[in-house]
Amino acid sequence: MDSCLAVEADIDKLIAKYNKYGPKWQFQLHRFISTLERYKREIESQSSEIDKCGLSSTILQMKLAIKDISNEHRRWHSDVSRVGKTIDKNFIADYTEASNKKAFKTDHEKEILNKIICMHLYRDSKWEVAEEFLKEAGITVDDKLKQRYLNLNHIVDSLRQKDPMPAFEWVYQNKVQLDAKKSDLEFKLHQIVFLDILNRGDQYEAVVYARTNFSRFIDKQKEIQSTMGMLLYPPNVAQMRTEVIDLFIKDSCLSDDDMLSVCVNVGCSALPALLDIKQAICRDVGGVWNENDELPIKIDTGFAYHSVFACPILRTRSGTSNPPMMLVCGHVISKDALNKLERSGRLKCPYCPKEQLPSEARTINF
Amino acid sequence: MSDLKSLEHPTLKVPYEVLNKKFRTTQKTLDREVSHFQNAVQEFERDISSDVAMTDTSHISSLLSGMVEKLKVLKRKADEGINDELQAGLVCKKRLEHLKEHNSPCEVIVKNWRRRRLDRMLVEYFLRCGYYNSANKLANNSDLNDLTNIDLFMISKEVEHSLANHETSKCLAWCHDNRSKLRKLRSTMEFNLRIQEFIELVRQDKRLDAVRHARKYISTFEDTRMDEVQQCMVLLAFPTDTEISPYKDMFDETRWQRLIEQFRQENYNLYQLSSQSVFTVVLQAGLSALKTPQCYSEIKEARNISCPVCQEWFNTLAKPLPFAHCSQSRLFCSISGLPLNEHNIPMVLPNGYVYGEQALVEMSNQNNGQVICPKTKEVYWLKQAEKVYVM
Repeated sequence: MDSCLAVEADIDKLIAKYNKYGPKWQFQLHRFISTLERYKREIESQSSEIDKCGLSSTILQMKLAIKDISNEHRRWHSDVSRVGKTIDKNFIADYTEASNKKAFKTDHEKEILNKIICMHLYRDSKWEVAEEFLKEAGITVDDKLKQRYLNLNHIVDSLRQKDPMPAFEWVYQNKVQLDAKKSDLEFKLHQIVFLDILNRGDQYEAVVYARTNFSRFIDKQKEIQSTMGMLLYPPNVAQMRTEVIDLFIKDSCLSDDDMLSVCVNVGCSALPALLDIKQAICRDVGGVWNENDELPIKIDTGFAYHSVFACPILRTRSGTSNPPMMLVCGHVISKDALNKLERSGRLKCPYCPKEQLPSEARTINF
Repeated sequence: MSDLKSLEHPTLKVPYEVLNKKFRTTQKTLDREVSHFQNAVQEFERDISSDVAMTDTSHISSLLSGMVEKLKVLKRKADEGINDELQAGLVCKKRLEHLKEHNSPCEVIVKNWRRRRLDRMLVEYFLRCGYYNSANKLANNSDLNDLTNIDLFMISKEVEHSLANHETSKCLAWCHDNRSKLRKLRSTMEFNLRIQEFIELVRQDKRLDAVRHARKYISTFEDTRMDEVQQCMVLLAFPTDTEISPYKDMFDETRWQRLIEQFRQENYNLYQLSSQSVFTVVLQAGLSALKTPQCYSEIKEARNISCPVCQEWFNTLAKPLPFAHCSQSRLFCSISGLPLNEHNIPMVLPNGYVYGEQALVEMSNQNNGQVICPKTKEVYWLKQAEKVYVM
């Protein structure tokens, strides 16, 4: 954020100069032109004595003033280049340092990547872009996958055009799943219809609609309250419509966030840390990502899809060759740690006084 | 370090380079026009000091109108130049405004911002891959024309296109346009283009023209690229279908392709763009941060349908990438998805699978005290489950 502000300060300074001098010079030049034209007219009309001194001194003044224009402009060079320097200082030019330059380079990988992007575009209801992209990238995707999004897109489009009927239909068809998820979708749809009626200025109709439709949602008292409050305080309907559309997209086509967005957002938060460590460790040691089978630091993704067991003794992640083992006393350590702790065929739990045979430990799965 | 800092350099640097270029052009124009005016003034001063000319009013008035003309041109050029610079500055400003939204306290704005960021990245990725129509459509669709470097790539599209048609003129014009910067970067673009022209002349068997061409354009590179110049001149002695390398390679049509590649790289360098798109770099980082051994487990149940890396396509992409780092356990019950901790104690079944206490108790309540392991389908009594202590 600070980096943005720093650049902005420099840019603002420059823009201020443009705004100040641009009109000033225009005015000045305009004045010079009319002065000269006036002289010219005088000379042509009178053909009497010319004020030679006056004329030359005026022109001398002009000459200096105009020289000044280009000089002043040249002086801005430092302001211009300062913007560039500030950008370089506050932003990192080469973000590729923390990446594997060979990744995603084979044709097969490129094709998969393009397919992923294409599905993302379909999901994001950017139908036209997706079609164009299919053509340009020369890829094909399964029609069944497409169909799923086509139907969805139709519903989203109608929602955008203030027609909630296809959405309601879909909600009734999928009521069981939606209820299981405790989805707000149906209520939100009713809410948006209510607001649309209200926006038409038909308050009576809106209240009738609320009466017939809201009464079923007993558990949504708070929301109903605030919705009815909108009779008094008109809300931003456009924004609420986008929210409903988002909710629909979320509840319908995929139960979870769009995978590509998840990956990219996680990547965006991971990259600064990776670049940081890249700068911290010796630059000559090759790329962070090469050869290693694990990232050098922990990244907090905010997503947890899998249990990870890290051995509390060795601080390494367990795997198929090094599974978590439960001791007789219930404490869990990794197999490698267990082997290291074994002393002449016996093992003492590192966490409690319990002594046992290594063979008594059991492999467990999380 | 924030993600803005590490990812948005090209978003600001490219419009800055445009601004810088505009500034230089304006300065040049101003200097030229000012000196034109100065010359007119000098002429006037010379004539006015000699009395002879002064009596001739028509001469004076023509001198004056000359000056007026020069001033008018200067006025127009100054207006255009300053306006160009101002517009370029405003593009920077607009992008800054957009970037600042990233730190908005309002969650909806941030969410929207992220979505547009992904769109911006995709536009850039499309442009780098040469999917220009898709890039244009997406930019229009999401109103990103001012926020992406689409103009820059559209210019390079033309050059690439002309190179693909075996024409050098557009690329040479581009070299000329950016001469001083390219020289600083020690670019070999122009040299390689000239060589290519030479090769084409030889290919058409216009060997005399080729020599003339070489004298005119290639001889100037003697101090830096002598070896290549010599190599190139050898071509005169060989037939175009020679099998001897490196001369065979030089006659190869793919040399044009390499020129396109080189042009792309140099264009990126000119604007300090990285060789890879932000999108692929970020996607790699993201996949790696999410990648766990379970995503590649042979047991299907170990995979999680909401995990991106467990999906077929992402799975393939992530294969060569490193796993997420882990030095501390993060355990979840695979039935309920809830974290395993002192409120939801992990319990191991006799088959070695661990689940949360809450889920097991709930299952046994519905099942007369019995639990079914979801992974192996074995049936146990709840009391057979033992507590597990994970430090």
